[in-house]
Amino acid sequence: MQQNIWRFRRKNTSATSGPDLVRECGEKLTDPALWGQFQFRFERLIFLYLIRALRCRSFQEDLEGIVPDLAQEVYVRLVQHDGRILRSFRGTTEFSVMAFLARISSSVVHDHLRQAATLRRRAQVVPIDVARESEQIGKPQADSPEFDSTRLSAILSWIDVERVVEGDPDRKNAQRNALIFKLHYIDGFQSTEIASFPGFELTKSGVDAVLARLRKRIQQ
Amino acid sequence: MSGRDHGQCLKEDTLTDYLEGRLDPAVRAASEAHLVVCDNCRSHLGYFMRLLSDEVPVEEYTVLENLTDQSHRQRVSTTLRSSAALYKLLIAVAASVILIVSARFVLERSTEPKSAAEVVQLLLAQHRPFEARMSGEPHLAIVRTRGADEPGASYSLLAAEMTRLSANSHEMGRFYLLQKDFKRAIPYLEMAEREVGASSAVHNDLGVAYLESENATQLSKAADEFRHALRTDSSFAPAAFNLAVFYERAGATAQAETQWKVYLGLDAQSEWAIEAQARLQGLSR
Repeated sequence: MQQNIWRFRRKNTSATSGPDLVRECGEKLTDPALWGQFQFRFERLIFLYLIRALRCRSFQEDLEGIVPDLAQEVYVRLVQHDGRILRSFRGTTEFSVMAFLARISSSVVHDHLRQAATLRRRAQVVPIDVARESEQIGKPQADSPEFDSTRLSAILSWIDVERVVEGDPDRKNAQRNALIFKLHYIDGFQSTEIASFPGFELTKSGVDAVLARLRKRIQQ
Repeated sequence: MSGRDHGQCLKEDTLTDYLEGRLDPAVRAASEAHLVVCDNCRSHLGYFMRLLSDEVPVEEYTVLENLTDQSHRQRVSTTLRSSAALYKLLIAVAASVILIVSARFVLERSTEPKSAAEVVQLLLAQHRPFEARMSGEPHLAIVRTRGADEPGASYSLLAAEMTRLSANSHEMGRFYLLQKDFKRAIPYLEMAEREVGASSAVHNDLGVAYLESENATQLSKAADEFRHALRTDSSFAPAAFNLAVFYERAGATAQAETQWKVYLGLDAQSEWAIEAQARLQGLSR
């Protein structure tokens, strides 16, 4: 698996920091040189966030066909209303720029899929026989809103975590550790992935240690 | 959110700020407490963790490379297109400049007088200096103004141009005559008149100078010049016109009427003829 993974390296060949570049673009919306730099630095990131946002929402169609259009929409959102979003950016780190672009990309994907779903619903005609059959069986369809495959595991995990948090000797970080536990065991994140975010304030071995300790406590 | 109350659900920027470690300790603690119990928010946190992960699996990497290549090709193509468009624009601008300059050159050359005679003709085409008719003068209505006549041209510059164009004495005389500068016009015209084979036009114009100078001693000389012109060329209409004007001013109404009729016999169609007809009618009343 490891050989199939690339670490994403942000392009940072310019003297201007990412946050400063974002702010400058917000001040100079029509500066082609500045926006050329923005595109050079962040286009791949925008593509990546769009790809991931689409995949997270189980988008199965042609990614290469739709992502460039959505990327254009990201740029539109950045500059619309006289660059309000760009000018509202207050981040100071490269991560804050990434998070900023990720949020916008996510929002663009969300809106696109919602609009597409609306169009599909309007175009969809359910045959009367299918509707009756579904009614007689009394079984909710897989894509109906009542169906929640994670409900059971969520309840179970809530009970477990209550125990974990209450018994964790690291009282100061009990909630964080419980969150890490859930992210790993319920949401499927590896310790490396969790440790890559500075907000958890742990290295990979630190995350592993937390997981090992909590696992042991649950087993007890 | 789960049953227990752990505050409001977290906003997107709070989630990403949490991942960045930017949150205030109190807010961070409250957020963690919420995230532990709220599956929805934790799911949302996980979503941003997946989005922001710095690991790129091979399938993502392939798509990303294709998209980047596609974008790069598009940019290069756009640059080339805009370069080509710029090149075309430059050619178009250059062509337009050449065309305008050429057109102006041709037009200026075509409107630029090539001879002193043309300078005089152009000036005569702009305004009629007096009642009498100079040779070759196009018909214009007489505009009477209260103040001094404004010729509307820089005659000092034009005089230099006349010299440059090697104007002869007739042309110089006409040039000053149309400015009503009789003191300069008459000597030139008299000089032209003394030349062997002086044309009807020269006699006519000298007669006009005499007539319009309003010098009583020269009025009779004016009539002589018009008659001389008509002797040289009996169909020379301007001289016939001017002779009629001379008779009018002299108060010889009958002779004036006759002369206008003679004139109309020579020219019944032009605007000068219309004026002549009007003056004849005026005398008949």
